[in-house]
Amino acid sequence: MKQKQIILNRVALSPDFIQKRQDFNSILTRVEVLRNPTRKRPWFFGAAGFSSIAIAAFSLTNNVLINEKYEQKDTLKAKNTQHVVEKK
Amino acid sequence: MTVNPMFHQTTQRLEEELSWILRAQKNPESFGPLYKKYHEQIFRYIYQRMNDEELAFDITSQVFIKAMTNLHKYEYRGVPFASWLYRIAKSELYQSFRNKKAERTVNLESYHLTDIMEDMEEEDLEHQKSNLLLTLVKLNEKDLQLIEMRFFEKRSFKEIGEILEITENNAKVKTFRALEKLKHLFKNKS
Repeated sequence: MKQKQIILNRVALSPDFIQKRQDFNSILTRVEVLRNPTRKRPWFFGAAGFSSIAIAAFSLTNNVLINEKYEQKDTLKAKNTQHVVEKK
Repeated sequence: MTVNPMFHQTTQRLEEELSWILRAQKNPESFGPLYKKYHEQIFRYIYQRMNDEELAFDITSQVFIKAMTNLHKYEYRGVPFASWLYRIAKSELYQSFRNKKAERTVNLESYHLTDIMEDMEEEDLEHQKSNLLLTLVKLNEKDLQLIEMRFFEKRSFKEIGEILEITENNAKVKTFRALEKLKHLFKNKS
């Protein structure tokens, strides 16, 4: 610990001033958040589940589309090669 | 030396407090009366040891959050609930010193110095007082805590014992030893 600081005759805070800073509701809210974190809330699983399904569906569709594109390209290539061979 | 009567409670008060605790263990909203009762005491305990008002309020809130989340672990031992809160406050406070969020401060009034001088059987002279201030910062943390609680906050040995989880007699002995150390350091300084 660092060197201690000494303060002589500091102005005292009044009980009223301290009482005005009481905020039990905010304490209660923070306790609720700690007791019931987001990952433990039912809506979180709903949202998380929904996003997972959406991501999975998106990647699946994307993959299918990419595959289809490649297949089309391959068919086109094959057709072109055949055409060149026939010309020769 | 007169002691602060705030901490002393009748059996009836203790029982009433216990009923609040039992209710709060089932429903956190019932912690309200305990928060109202102890907020100022805990804030003053924290603010006494630092010089940052806002941080002192933050740490006080943290103390109550910790108390409420750990209330299921609380066991009634016939002493005021405050002693449990003070222990949490002490741990939170020292954590903030370790994290360098707050600076350890010793706050005292001129008449506190007079009280200590009396107990040390020293003459109450101005230059002696400034020597005493310089000596106080040289005390180790444990001894300083005892001097602070006994002489600056006017706590009884019973209360000091409950906060530090030692017996009343042990608190008395330890405070006496801390005062002896202070006396020794003071004489060397003079």
